[in-house]
Amino acid sequence: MATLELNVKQSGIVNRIITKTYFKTRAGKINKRAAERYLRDDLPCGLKACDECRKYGKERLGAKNSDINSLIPSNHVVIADASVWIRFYDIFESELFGNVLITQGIWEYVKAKSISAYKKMNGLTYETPSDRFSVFMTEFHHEIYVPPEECVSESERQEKCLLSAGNYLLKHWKRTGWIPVILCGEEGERDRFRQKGFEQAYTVKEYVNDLKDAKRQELLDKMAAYDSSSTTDKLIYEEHLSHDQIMQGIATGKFRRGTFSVSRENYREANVIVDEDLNTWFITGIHFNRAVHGDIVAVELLPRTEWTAPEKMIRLRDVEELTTTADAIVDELNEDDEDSETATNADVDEGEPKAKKMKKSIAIPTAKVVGIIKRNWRPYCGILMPSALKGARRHLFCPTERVIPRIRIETEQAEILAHQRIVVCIDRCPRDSKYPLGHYVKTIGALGDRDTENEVLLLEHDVPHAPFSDAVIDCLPPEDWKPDMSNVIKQDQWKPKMTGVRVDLRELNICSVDPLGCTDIDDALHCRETEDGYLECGVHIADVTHFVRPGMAMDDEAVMRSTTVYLCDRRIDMLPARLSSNLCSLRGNEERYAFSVVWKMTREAEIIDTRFHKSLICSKAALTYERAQEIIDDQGMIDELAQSLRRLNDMSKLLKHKRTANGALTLASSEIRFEMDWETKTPKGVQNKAHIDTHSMVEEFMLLANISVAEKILSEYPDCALLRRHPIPAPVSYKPVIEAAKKRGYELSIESGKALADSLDRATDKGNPMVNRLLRMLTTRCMTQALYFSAGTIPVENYMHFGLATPIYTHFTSPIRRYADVVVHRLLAASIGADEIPSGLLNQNNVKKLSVNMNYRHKQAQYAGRASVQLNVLTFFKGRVEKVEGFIMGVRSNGIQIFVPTYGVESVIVIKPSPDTVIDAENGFVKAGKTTINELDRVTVQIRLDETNVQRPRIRLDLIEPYIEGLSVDFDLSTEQGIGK
Amino acid sequence: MMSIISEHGYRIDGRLPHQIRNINCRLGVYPQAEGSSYIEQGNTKILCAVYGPHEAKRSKQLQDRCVINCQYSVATFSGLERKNRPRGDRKANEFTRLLEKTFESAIMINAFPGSQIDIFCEVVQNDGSLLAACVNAATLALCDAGIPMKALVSASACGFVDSKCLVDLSNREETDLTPRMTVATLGNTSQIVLIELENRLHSNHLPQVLAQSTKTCADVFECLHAAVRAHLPGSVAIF
Amino acid sequence: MTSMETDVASSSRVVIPGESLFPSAEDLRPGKGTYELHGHIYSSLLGYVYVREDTTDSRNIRVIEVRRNEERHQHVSPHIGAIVTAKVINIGPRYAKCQLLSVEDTILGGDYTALLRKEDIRSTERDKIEISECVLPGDILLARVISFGDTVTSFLISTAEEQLGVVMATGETGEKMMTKDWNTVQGVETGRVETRKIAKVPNLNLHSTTKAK
Repeated sequence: MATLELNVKQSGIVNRIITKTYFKTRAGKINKRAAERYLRDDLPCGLKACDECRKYGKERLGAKNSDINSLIPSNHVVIADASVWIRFYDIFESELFGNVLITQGIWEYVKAKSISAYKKMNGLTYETPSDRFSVFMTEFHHEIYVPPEECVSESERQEKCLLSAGNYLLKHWKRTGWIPVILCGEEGERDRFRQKGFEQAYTVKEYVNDLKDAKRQELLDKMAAYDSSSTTDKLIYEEHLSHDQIMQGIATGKFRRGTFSVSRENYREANVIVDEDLNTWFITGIHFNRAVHGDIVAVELLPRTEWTAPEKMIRLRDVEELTTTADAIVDELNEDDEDSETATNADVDEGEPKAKKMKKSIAIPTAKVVGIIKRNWRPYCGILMPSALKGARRHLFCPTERVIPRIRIETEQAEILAHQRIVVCIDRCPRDSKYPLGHYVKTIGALGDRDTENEVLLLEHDVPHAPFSDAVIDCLPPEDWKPDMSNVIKQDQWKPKMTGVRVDLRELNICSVDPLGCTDIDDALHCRETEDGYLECGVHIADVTHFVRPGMAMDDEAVMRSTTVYLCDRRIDMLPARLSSNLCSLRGNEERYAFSVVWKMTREAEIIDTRFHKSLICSKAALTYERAQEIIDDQGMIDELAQSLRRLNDMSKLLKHKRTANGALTLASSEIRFEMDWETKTPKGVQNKAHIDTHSMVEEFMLLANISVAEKILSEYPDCALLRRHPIPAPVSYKPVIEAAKKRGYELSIESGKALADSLDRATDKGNPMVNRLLRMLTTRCMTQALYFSAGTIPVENYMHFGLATPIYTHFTSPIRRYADVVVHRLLAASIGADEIPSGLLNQNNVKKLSVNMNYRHKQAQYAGRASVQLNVLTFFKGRVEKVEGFIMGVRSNGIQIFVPTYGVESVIVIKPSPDTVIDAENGFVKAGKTTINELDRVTVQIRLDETNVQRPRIRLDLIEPYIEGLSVDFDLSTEQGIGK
Repeated sequence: MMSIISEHGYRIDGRLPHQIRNINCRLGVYPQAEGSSYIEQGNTKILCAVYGPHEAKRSKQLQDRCVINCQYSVATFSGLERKNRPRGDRKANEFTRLLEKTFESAIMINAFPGSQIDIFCEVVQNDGSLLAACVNAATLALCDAGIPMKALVSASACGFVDSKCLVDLSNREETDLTPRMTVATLGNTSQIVLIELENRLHSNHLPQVLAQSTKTCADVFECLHAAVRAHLPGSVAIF
Repeated sequence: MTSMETDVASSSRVVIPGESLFPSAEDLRPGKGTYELHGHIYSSLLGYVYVREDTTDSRNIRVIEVRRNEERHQHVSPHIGAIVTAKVINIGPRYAKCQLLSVEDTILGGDYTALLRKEDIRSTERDKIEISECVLPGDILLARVISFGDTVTSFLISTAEEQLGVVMATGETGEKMMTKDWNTVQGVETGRVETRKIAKVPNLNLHSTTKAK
């Protein structure tokens, strides 16, 4: 180690060395790089008890733990080796590890080797407020650093570094009475440490075993891994190609990459979208090759002779397992133990390597998975399917998410876990195992318990729902906050480009219109006549960004949550209640800060002038939709507020007319909402979704506000403004609805948004008004998702919002429940000079990242909401049977899909083949004896709860009318597409 | 992938964001020239030679002041891979002009009408902050040559990453996207004689970056000052 | 050329360019290697501070200078009005081409060439001059810079004053010649006499003349 003279005296730096590393260039040559490294003496060790390092102020570790472990009699700090982190990172979440030191060498090694372990490590150290973890910068420490030249290999250097750090800390902490303890993954490592004189080295298994607390059993379970190699030589799957081979293959075009997407209807079929959304390849059966839904895979197209097509069958794993015998399952699970040659039903079904040869005309490009580029595993919620054998350690875990395969785990606690919802992680997918291998992470709660089920829902949809941390609560203003009058000016004093002022609009007749029971009021409106005969309409949005400043803990939390999540019985707020329901909410007769968009328009709803400014308002009334409609309709009410509402209503009708003329789409959603009994938190009945004028009134003005704001921020920030777009769906996506319409004799045009809207309007059946609504629902399913994006990242013509028929759109009107609106508020405030712009928003990459997160959270929130509704449907039908109207949405080769609009339930009735019944999936009809059922026909069904499987209650539909012999019912299948506004 | 500032707040080589690298310098290394210097800022090594003032070519001569002629050249062996063209490319030409402009403000050019002063800088090893190091090297060489200057010019490079100012960037930290600014000040004052910016920086961040750069230039000035004073007694005959 | 003995060296204080030396005062003048700005005298060189007494206009003023060592010449370049020492390289019908050796008392670093035009040699009878009667190649002269010249010609110097002209001559045969009287020089060894335009330098001490480079 060549030490060089240090001429520049800087605090903390004591030494300078030059190390040479070799690396490979892109061309394949080997280059040498000489890097300098500065060694320091001002690196704190992190222990609260250490006097020397206290002056740096970074100490964290200090929880006394001299008596938690029988092996170690004194207060100790655990230093876990990199291999322990990579393999067992889950165990560090446990409170039993009160003091953990991570050396910089281990940190960097884990970061390079395992992203998931690194994420956990980073999360525990920097992102949670716990002080159980501390990082010690050993690579920069002048007494600990071990240069690479002294060692033969990287792993040897890691060990040497750890030993060096351990010895240093032993000396350093002598006076405090604390000792460092090294935990290794293997016994060999531990012995090497002991040989070199470091006594307090243990394997992590030893350490955990000797913890006195009973919770150590959980930790041991988590660490249980399949160390022993499999006894069978039966390799089921092809080997995955190496990363280099995959990359080369992709470069030459032999392989393609895409996301692996398992079909919701048939668990043995999957699709991979390759070539950036242009082509979809079909994958079936054994060609899955251990890919899991969500992984990014490399696929190779099979030769044309092997192409096949989707079976058009509904195949759901749980059903098939229910129909196989218990013995079969036992045999299957014991194949590792007993070399059982018994073929089971399940085996036969799943082991089919080749699908039926399809006719050439229907066969579509089929491929096989040759390698995995990136795994996208996450912890999965679900239930344990205990093995039938008593005392067995290996069990199958069944995830709630249907597209994830069963996972085999090892646990001793099978009896306790059998009726709980648990969380399991996948570790690996070896070639000789039918199922992936994983480990148990934690228990959520008892099966069927409402809170547990809610928790599972939230976990499965990755919705952050922990209570707000202290750091966030500290950011809140006090309960008795009052507006500051110092920068408030009168309305006539305001001029454009004035900065830092608020306009006093308290005397205006502003009111808000929201659903019954709404506590987070984001928006309020007013409309009055101006002196020059025009109308002044204003939309006032809660000024959330006054309270939520960038850099606050509350802001970071809001970024992560990105949206308020609405479940049937619960609402997970993005912002703490003091803001969302009180200080930001535009309550009636309370003075509140707002951000206003005020238009001057003609009586024909032509906009002459638009003004944006911050304001102080006092809403005169917080009305419900129904009450507002009553006021408008009641000719006897002639006060200013009623007149303002009437003007707003008239204007909104004109605005809507204009939008429809432009081609805005009105579609229907198949979702329902429950009316809840808030005491028992159970559903009472389905909400009536009558659409009244005031709904449109508010909607039109919100749209107008969003569009005006979008135009303003785009003009100021053309390369980083946050906007929302709705891409035009590809013509092929419309196939289902066009075919369904054609079968009924309607011609749908997709030339333009307007053409589609008009042709949908024409597609009505006087005898059956539901047909139009169903067609609109089918159209909704063909739509693409609306997305947030940063201006400047795509061509301007793609900024448009297809569904609203506007060339530009953003979200501005709901900052209390959506983070995108908070961002837009900040951009707008900066563009009018009312506030400074946070630097992060000016970086296009940042805005892109924010958009990606917000799109993800928005989607997850939607799915969570729907899942909550489905959950409550099950609760609602406990002990209840009803006869309802249903419609045939699709015909499959083994059954029909029925949609019940009253409850938003879509399910499948399986039709057993019989000489009488003819099922024609191609042309969409079923003929049984004399009755024919076509797609979009109305039928009557009986709906009830099927609890034969206690762990998985299901909605059961029975066909009542038209009567067909021998139909049985089946499963719950709600699709998950939709259009967001 | 290593991030430039790690989660713990340290840079790849162990410095904190506001700390500069070690500086070694020597004057008078090349006796053939009027003045010469060699500077090492971390692993960046620059050799500089100064010739003149001598009579300028008729075409280039200016009547009231002298002409500063710079040549900035990067040795072919200075980087990780062999570079074929030592000078004459766009970057080198730009740096040449910048150096000329900088020293036109620092040297007392009105003292030498019709003459020319040549400053030749050669980058012997490239580890980032090249322009700053060249300015520092040229200052030292000019001092060694005895050419009258208003004050010593000290320069430093400052980048902006994750809302923090990073001073004296090394090659690994000079990525394609990080904005970096080279600032040179005259003496110990905050008079700026050179600003050069690469990539894009938002104007809101400018005051912060400028403040940090100026402070670092003051630190570098202290180092150059010490080196220059140390050099003097050795080269003077005793009176 | 001032000799070092008359200087009063201050303490060997090392200064760098830009370092403040003294605040400006009536009796302080910035000399070589210093400059004055905003009420202070700053050093512009790396070197030692010297304070020199000087009497001009019957006032005692101190001149502040900064110098390195005398082996290294100071940097100057010829400016208009400066007295320079030049050596004649060749002569033509209308001008003599000279090489400038030093500017006042500082030896020049580089090569500077200058032209001495026929009409600038003498102030009287300017049109009737014969160059070969005034200067010959090899002569050392004292002259004054009058112009930078244009793009083609280089510096222009002039000896049209009493104190300016030839100081030491080389004869036609190449021998050294010394001044005899107001317009003749005499060879040291041969005794040959030739005409030159001689510089009337008062108190010319033959032993301490400018040394050629």
